[in-house]
Amino acid sequence: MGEFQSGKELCDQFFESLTGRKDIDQRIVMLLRNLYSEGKLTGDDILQGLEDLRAQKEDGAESQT
Amino acid sequence: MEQRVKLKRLVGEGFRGIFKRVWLDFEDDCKSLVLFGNNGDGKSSFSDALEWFFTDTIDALQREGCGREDYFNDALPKPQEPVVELSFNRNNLDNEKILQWEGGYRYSNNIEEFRKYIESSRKESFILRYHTMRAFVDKRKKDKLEEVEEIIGFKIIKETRQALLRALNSLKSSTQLTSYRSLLNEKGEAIVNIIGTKPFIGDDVISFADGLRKQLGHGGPISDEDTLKSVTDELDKKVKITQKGEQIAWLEQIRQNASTSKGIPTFLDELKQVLTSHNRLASQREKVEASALDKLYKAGVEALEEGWVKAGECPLCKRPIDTDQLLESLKKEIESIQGLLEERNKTVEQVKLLRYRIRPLKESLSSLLEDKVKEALLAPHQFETLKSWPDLFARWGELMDKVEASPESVVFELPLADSQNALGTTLTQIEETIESKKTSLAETEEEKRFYQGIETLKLLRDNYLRLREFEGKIGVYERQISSLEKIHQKFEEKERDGLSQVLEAISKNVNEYFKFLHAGEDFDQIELVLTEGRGLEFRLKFYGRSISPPLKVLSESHLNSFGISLFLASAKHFNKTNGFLILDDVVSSFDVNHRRSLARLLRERFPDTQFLLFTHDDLWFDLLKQDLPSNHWLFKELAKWSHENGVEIIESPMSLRERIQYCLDTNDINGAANKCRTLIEGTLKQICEDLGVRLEYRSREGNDRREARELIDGLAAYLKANQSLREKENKLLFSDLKADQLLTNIGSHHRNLGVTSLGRGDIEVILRDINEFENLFICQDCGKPVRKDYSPPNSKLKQCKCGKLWI
Repeated sequence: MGEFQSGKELCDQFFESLTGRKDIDQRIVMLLRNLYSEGKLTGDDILQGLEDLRAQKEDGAESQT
Repeated sequence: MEQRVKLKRLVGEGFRGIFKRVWLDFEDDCKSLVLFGNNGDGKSSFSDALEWFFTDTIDALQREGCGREDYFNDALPKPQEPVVELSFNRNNLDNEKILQWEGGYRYSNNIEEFRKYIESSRKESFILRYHTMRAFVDKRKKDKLEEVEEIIGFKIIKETRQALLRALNSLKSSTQLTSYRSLLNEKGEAIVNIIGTKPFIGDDVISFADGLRKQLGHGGPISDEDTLKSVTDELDKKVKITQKGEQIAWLEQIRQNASTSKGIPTFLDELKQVLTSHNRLASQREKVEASALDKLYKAGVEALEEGWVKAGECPLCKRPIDTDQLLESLKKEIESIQGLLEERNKTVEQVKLLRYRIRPLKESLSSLLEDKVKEALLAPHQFETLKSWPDLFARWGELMDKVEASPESVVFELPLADSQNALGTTLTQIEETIESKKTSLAETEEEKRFYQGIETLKLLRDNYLRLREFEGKIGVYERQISSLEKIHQKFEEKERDGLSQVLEAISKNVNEYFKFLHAGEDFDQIELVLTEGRGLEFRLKFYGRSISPPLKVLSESHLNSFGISLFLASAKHFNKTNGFLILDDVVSSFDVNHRRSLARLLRERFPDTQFLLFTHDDLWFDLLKQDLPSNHWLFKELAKWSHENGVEIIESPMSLRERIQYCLDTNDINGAANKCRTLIEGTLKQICEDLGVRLEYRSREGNDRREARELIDGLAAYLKANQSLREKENKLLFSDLKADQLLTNIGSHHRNLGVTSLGRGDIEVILRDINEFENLFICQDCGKPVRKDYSPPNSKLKQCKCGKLWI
């Protein structure tokens, strides 16, 4: 659009900016970034991804927070 | 930058009011056009044709409940198909779009570049109609924000925010999490019952367990979760080595199962409430339908998105259809019925929670029917009481399946109070039998205390370890919720920043255009601002006071100007593909005071934009001819619409007088009378404005609705006060004009009044009167009218340009 950042540019920039933030679970950041880049960032897909992360934790994975 | 697309020619045939093939030719240099037509003559058929060409629908018709069948001209014989053809300044985009009788449409030009062009055009807003231009101003704050987001290409932002919020809310209200919290409470209460401390912390439990350990004579301390587990296991093993100890442990297990089974009546109460509420909802037809449609629409969306159905064809009726449009419309429908589904969703959630409860109840009760228990602890009548219950659990499970699967009512019969009481009595009796057996197994008080102590320690261990497990699971959920909340909050901040930038730029232009249209009025700092709770509103300064929303103080005319200013500002910033705009009858009787400013605004601020300006206001049409440069603008008008011919375009005579003559030539006396009335009003308004005639104050749009009679009186008062044009023949001209005005009124309404219509001669006399009257105020030497801006400041009389005529 030129004079303003487009919606997509804002989203790209936003998900980039989450990387490395210590107050946010980086595995969730990775999950959201992957879903976003695949064009699958829907409520249901996020929930499924979070459930998978919880299952991994129960299998003994350490929290990254 | 690539040249913006403009129109060279628009051709229509058989579409809406257009029957025979007609075209608007904008010439090779894509000139702008003013199209005049009386209401009902078919101006909007052209904007409808353009809207359909680009978007496949005509929004205004759709909102009125009209469908594609209404796009066909009434007189069009089958199998002839309606056609809209556009030629552009980029020849490779030229295309014909044909509306098919059997459904759907086809293009004559299917190149990839055209497809891309249509796709980008759909993101732009280029048609403004009178009935929609106020729509934005009148919208709720939330809807305003959504519309702006749509216009500025923030759809992806909205979708991302909604996805994050949906996930966050679902996570917070997750059935699993609720169940963990409920189990955590349950375990917490059980621990309170054992240790007698409320509230308690982990150390209280460990300290209590260690005290018990000492009483039981175990050597190692209990200092944490691990030692609680290991010491209890060791003591348990020690007990189970002896037959007596093993027997006591088994009895305790059965006692616990009997105790758990006592929760069945409470469970049944809750199940009854859920089923009753479900059946109440099932009696509300619209909610049942919404639920069924929700499923149908969601299945449709899935089938379309996954490509399971043939593109371009309705999956149900097999008629040709635009797949993208169908998908979009299904998604909108799903969104619109969510309110009706709220209670139904709540019921389904409650059923899910009950499912978590039913399993331990069923397992506990079934364990009481095992042979070993039957032989050792149950009397025959007790066994009879218990044995019918496991089958009931299966039935309740089926009921819950039905409720989850369908909004239709369910028939249910739950055990009566008598059966539930009998169950409760039997379970209490079993507990008493167990207590009695345990007592008889322990020979001494010390032994009893020992076994009791070990049972208590085991119970404490089990409850505490489960409690810690649930705390862990809940902790995982809560950390995810916390992260997602932060992400959602940061995203909203980012969105707000992005929006603010855009709004600032749009507001700057809205302010500029609005002030241009209403020069001399005390408006300032007009802006679009984000409001609390996700909304958007206009704010402005009116006589130095900050006002929001503008509806509070502004007239119809001002609000219309807001609509026009916003449309133009948004087109300026966001229409990067198309360089044309269509303004379909956007000037109404409310807007007479700034209609001329609008023409100048278009001319001065949008020199590179091609406009298609449709109007039914013949005086404005006349003014536009004077104000807009003829090398860039074309002027055409529509003949009276007829069923036989549909819309017909005629080259427009250049002035209102010429158009009156055209009416006379075509024997349209009523049309000529109508235009004469407009000409009298226009002439008088111009003279009054030139002389600075003072008229009675009227608020808001009342100012815009002065009739000729009032203008004549005002002008006469001015002349009397200045002792000017007092000669008898001049006074006669005033009387004649008053009479002419009356005649034109009667002439244009004679059918309603039941009087004889005007003749051609009458009109010719009226035209002569108007000319003579107008000439009174024009200098014979310099040919210019008397005007206040030619005159010295504060001069009572006004002069012409050369100063020879003073009035």
